[in-house]
Amino acid sequence: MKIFDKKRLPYNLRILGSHIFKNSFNPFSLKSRLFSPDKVSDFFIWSPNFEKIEFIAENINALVSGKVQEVVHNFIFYNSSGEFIREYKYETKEFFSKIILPTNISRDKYISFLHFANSKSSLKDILKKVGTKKKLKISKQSRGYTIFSAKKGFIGSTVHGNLGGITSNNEKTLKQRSLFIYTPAYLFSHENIYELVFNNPTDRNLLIKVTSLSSQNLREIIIKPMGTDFIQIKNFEGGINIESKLPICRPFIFKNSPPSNLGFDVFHG
Amino acid sequence: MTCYFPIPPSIKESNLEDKILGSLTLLNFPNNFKKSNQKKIYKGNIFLGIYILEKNSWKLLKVFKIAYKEFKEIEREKLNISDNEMAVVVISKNNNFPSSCTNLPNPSSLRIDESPIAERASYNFSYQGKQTSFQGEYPKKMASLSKASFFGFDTIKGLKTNGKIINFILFINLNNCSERQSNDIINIYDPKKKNILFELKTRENMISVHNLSLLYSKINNKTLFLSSKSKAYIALILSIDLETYNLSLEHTHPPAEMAIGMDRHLIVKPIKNNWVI
Repeated sequence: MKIFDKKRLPYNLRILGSHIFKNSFNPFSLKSRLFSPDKVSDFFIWSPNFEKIEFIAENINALVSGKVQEVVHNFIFYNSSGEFIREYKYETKEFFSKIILPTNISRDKYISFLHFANSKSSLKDILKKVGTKKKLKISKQSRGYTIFSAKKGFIGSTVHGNLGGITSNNEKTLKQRSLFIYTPAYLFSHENIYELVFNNPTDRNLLIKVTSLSSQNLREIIIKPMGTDFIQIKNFEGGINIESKLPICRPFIFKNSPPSNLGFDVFHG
Repeated sequence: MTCYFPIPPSIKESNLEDKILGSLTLLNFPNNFKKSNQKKIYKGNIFLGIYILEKNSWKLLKVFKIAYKEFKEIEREKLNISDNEMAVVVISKNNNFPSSCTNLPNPSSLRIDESPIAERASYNFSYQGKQTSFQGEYPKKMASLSKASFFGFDTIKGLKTNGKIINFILFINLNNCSERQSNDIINIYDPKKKNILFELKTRENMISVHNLSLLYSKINNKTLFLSSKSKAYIALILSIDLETYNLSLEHTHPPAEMAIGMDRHLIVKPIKNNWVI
């Protein structure tokens, strides 16, 4: 028999308890957990290396309400140093839209962008309309997919976003904690050239160190808030460790990016 | 949270000279941990028990050993099993797998603390030397569900103006009980009209592979929805370009990923009420 059921505690008390006992593992700030923002975005990658980049945007409000609803998909681009470049807007009523992103945004090899689906009603309002009565601790999360095509006629390679937790007011809900290691279960091959692309969704500079599984130092980078950088891996066989203060620090792995014709792939490391 | 790792299928298609080959790469090292905890890392061998379904039982087909920090790539073609029968990897720190069982053994975990990234393996598909991958797992909790449903969408399918592309959709269902093998239907429908266009046959404890390009020969760039009223699936879309042989692979998000916060689960019910038909 369960004597103590933490689910019966008030929500804020559970958050505070978790903050005291497990905070060092939680990627999100205490503030964002207590006061859920309306919406947050993952942090996505754009690159001028590709002739075509598409984005699959979800109209979450329409999916929850069950009917088509107008939405403005707003894309906000930041250069590799984390400075705002421009916005791009796309209006639709569709549940899912495959949107071709502009091609001339930056000359930086990799940059990052946010995506927000802006509607008249908030997700919380729509959930109340469909019968949810309680005061909600929920944020709509943009988790779209980006499709990278080396040439316009080729099929693209698809990857979902990196955990971003960035609000539409540009508040950062992710926090850097103590040092974490992330090791993708991926065997790098010396026949291929990889670019591990990282972005920084926090409000402090982010140091990332990549070593081999045998602790050979491969490279370190420092990324400014909202910035993007990459580490190239070539002539290397084996696994890697990624060390940073982000509990979740997963790179986008671009394998054989164009102009290479060895077989392009992009995936979430 | 511990995980099972179903072995991806190999795919034979009349438009392709060779098979698309499925494989799984595992590593004897924890995926994610706090650096200050690294002394706790298990440094012994791990064993990978590969189970297949034989009538109503899980049968142990093979055991592989992996040393600390070593990788093992498990290629379906080398297991001498059919292209898409269910074969699942169970990780254990001891080589004491039962040779036959009704419920899959509990998998061991390499996790050493509460770091947030789940244990994963690389799911790979390759064709004539080109390979696509993603990091995935099948949570034990999901393999223990007695009742579930599924909602997905096909927007990540590849499109090409000259049509020289094949899109496959893969539905993975794993239940740790070998006796669970009931048939199921996944409805594919237009979300605006809610008219069912196709019914795809699937089954519990199976990876079913369907050629969407063949099915969709008269449908253009529309997003169609996918649903099942009775089973949960991990749905993957695999695309191959018939000119360059480039491959693309991604999974569809479950609805719970469309929100974060303590009440994120509240988004699932209305979405499933609307779209599981």
